[in-house]
Amino acid sequence: MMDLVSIALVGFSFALFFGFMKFCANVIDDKGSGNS
Amino acid sequence: MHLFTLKDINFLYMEENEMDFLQIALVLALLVILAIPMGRYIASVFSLEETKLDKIFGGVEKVIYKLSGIQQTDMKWKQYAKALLLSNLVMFGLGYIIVRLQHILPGNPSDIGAMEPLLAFNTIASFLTNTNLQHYSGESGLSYLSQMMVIIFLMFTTPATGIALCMAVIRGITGQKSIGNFYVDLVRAHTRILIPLAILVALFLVGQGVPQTMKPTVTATTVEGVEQQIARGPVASFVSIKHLGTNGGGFFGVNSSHPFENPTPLSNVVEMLSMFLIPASLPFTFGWMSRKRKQGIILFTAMGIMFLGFLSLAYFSEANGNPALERIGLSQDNGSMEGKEVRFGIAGSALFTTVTTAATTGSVNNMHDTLTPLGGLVPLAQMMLNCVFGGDGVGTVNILMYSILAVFIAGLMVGRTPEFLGRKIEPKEMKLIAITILIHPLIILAPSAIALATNMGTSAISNPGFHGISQVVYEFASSAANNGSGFEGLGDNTPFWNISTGLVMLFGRYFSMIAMLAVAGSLFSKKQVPETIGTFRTDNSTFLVILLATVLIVGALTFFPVLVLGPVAEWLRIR
Repeated sequence: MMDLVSIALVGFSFALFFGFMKFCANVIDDKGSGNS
Repeated sequence: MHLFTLKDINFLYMEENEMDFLQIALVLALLVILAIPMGRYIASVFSLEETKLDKIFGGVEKVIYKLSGIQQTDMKWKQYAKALLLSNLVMFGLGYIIVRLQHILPGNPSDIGAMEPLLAFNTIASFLTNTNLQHYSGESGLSYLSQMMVIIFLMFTTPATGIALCMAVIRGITGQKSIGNFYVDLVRAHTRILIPLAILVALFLVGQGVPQTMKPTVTATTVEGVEQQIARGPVASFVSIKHLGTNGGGFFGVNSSHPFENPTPLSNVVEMLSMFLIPASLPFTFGWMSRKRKQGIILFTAMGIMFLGFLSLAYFSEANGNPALERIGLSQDNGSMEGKEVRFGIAGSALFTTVTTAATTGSVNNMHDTLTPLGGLVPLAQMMLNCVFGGDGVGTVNILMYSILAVFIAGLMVGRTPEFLGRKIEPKEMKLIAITILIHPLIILAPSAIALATNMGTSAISNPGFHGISQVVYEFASSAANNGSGFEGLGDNTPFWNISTGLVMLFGRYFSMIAMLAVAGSLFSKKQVPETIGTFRTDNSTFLVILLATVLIVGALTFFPVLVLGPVAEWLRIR
């Protein structure tokens, strides 16, 4: 049972990070920057 | 009969504090001497051009790329961030499974049981984020397999991740050919930096008496006839990467104050140099890669000035002793030696404490809970600022973030377009930097407030009052800064502390990484503006002062109230 809590915590955290990445891309109006 | 004593030979005799100053000066001089060539070396490792190093390491790396299917193609910032997050998520999963099943896996001669789930979450989050906060005791909580396959593995991959991030950010800000490839950077950080250095340091530590064995604990009979279990294991290999990778988690519960982890004053010096070497080298790497060496020197100097200020406060606070103990008749002539190893003394302890919290390593050779109030303020403040050299890679990224903020503020004040290294700083970059700067205090102060307002937090405090506030704030500051040292005295192996600090460590690590990669990606896509007479220079002493003021003012505005409630109030009470 507590293993599920641990998995939920890490899943929630990484979902937030991927969401934050999208947010950052929107903020900088990313259109493929970062490559030559 | 002695004809003369050492005291008679004036040029050899020194007062104790003079010896302390000499010891500190020697360590810091050695650091600068090593950091400059190391910075140049790291720049060549992560140069996107072919170098002579390819002949030495290229073969091994090609095998790794082939076996793991790594395509050595350039990445955009989002690809880089995705690769970083996904690889870290996989490492979390593997680590969690091993520590949960260690009781049925091989490599467990001392029959250690499975780690409890929430403690496992906290432990893996801690080592995955380069924090190494430990709510368990290493020698009794983990099997040898877990120590090697999880802890030491993560101790290599997490600093490598930090270094890779730093290189991507530097490439983006300085407009290199591309941001780079995360997997290539990760592999190179291992093969060309961390593994060779870790082997050298481990061999030295073995020479100083640190154990390196796979045999189980020894049962010894003491002079009183009592049986005592003496833990040992592959300690030297663990301790070397613990410091080089600014990790900090101890093989033994008492960390680097254990004679098997840190047996001699010489091992103490090498451990301090190990944890500071890479963070102190990276500003020089930045200078080399941006082809503006003066810029790198300015960053190094800014961090160095803050470090010397904090070191002075820590040293003099500890050397002056504890007035409360003096009042009850305990001599403080040798300084505040409570919680310190006699073999390291005040200088070896104060320097270690300042280095370990500046480099966000978290390794300790003395009990931080027994530091004098102002001595305890130093590690707290350094973790709150999080850019006094900082951890491998992330510290340099943080000072670059403050540099961009300083350029923006200074540009607004003098009415010039803010530019950093020829790239315009616009509101979109500043939004991300502002978010990053705000997240750090938020994840320290908000959970500290919850802990202090509820029984879940206050029940863990062993020393109520002002010191109890410091204990709680220290735990979250250490987690957020990915430091990992503990003020100790806090009963922190409970669901509340395991969950709250686990989340704070994850948030403290990845939000700033993602935001700074985005800033680097944004700056990378901009055209370089040629330098003119009207350009605001960032490689002179004026900028150095502005950068220092920016870091210290932002830090003071955010954290001064809580520092007053904790260590400052305690100092005013006992002095």
